[in-house]
Amino acid sequence: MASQYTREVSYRIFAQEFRDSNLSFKDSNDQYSPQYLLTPTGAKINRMFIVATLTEKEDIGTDAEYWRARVVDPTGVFLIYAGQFQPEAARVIAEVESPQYLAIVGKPSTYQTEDGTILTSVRPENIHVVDAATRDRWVVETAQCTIERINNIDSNHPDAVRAKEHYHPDVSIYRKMAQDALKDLNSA
Amino acid sequence: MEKETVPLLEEIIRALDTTDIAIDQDIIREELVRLLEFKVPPDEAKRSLLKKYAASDIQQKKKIADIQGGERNIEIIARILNINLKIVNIRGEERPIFIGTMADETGTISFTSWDDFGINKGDILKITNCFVRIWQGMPQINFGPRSTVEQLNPETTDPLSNKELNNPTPLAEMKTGTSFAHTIFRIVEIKQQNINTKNGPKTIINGIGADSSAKLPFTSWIINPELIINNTIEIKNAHVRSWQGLPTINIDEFTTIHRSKTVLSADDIEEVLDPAPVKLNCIINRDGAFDVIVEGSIISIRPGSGLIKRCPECSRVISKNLCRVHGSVEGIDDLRIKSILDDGTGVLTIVLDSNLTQKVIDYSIEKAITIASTAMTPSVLEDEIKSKLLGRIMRLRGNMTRGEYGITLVATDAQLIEIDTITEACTLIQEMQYPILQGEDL
Repeated sequence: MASQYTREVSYRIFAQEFRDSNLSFKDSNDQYSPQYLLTPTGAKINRMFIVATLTEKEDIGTDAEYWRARVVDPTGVFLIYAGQFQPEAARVIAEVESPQYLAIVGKPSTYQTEDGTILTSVRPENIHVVDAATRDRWVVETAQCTIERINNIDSNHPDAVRAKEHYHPDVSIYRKMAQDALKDLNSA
Repeated sequence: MEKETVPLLEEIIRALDTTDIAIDQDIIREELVRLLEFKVPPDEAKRSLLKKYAASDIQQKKKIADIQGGERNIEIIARILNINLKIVNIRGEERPIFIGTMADETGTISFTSWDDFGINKGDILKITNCFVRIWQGMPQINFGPRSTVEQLNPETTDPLSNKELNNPTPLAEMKTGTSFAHTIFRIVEIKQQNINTKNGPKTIINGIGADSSAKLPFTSWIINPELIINNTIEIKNAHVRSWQGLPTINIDEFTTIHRSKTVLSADDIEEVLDPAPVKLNCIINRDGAFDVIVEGSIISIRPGSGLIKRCPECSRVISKNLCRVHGSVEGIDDLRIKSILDDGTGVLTIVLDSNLTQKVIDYSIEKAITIASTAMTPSVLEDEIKSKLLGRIMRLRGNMTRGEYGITLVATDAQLIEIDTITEACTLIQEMQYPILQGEDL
């Protein structure tokens, strides 16, 4: 049977863990093979799903529109960049007023600064305005997914092994992060 | 010119020499020179001559499992599992063709015979000069006037006869194309159906079998007293075919059916009959999943969702009241949603029909039509669906299939689910409490 294209899964990652990620790679040398970002708890992501609050937006483009948006979850900030190649997402950012809850499906991308620090950001495929309940559900789901990855970090799954080798993560930090995010829901 | 041709010609002749084909060197030289004169690159000229004189005469024996698609000129020995007559219209001319399934010890494959070779079900045949086409995503054997079909003695040459039967396979692991399936299941649904075949009307039995791993449909082409509801049966030598995208167990006269020694009780299959939601990564690697429940976030609404028009004759989706088969027609309004469901472990396309669409967006189709005509564009419904569903969590029940358009679940039921986030969060925190304390103690 002809080899079939399968869509990449969208991972649920908190901003803090996403910001800590810096290992970006491809599985093969083929120019069309997907780019992955490995996170400290061993999620190998090519696509992610975020529901968080838009706090700031700025058109940093010179000629054409190029939007930078800050989107905040209980653990930190995602940077979202959308320009002419993400027309639908850029249009949504241009139209919404902050603060607003947004559901974002996008691809992780990385940028290396001159001093070698790797910054992560998200290139959105689509963005939609959602309600507070949807945002809370995302926090619960993301906490669940994060805890599950932490529980499997000592398994022999290749992604977990690689994450441990590269990051030597102190997973209790991420466990605490997930827990705080959940507590945050209760206090609200 | 001549100097360049000589080594090339020798190469070609050497290649053809190994194939026992009588060749006329002069003709080949002549044709090679002519190709080169027409500025055909030498490699291409060589390939084309080899193909012309050699490939068409080399028979390649193939086992069904090795067939990938695109092969020409192969020889196959297989047993005919079933064969049906079909009348097709080729350039205005009615022609009978025969379609069916054949199997050898490595697998099953569907075939089309473009000529009447007097083939009957159960025949063991050696068929030469077949070619393989990809039809609806699966390779298919084709043979016709240029092929020869030879009947072999079933006693001595049945490719399936000495196939050793392994342990029974759980239903969840059934693969399309298996020709000697051995499995045990309990019959949870069964009904007779009358169909028309090549040899006139026939009664077949359709049903659903379940074990502790999955449910799967089955079709029996024979009547057997063990095929009654709630019986646990053990079947050997059944073949698994894809029917409407799902692996379906086919029982025919070559299949043995016994009442199973190990009986699957109603309790054993309870979880399968009343399924709990499964994570997508558990099912998306299967060939298909029958009647499963999944939950995930709606992360994208695909084009073609919302208010659409269908051809009244064939139900195809049409635009501008023009059906690509039936021409200008008066389209029938319909609602549907095509969307991407993602639960963080896997992803699939979901399709909701008109009833389910009306249920999840809480619109009647009449209201949808009114809204669309007020806004003067049907796409307003697509936007409405996006604003209602994107980012929400949906639970769906239905059949998952793997087809040309990727992995799809056609929903038989769908609902948006509300999670009590506070309770969920508390439960999770409690579950975590212990490991965190432990970590801090260290």
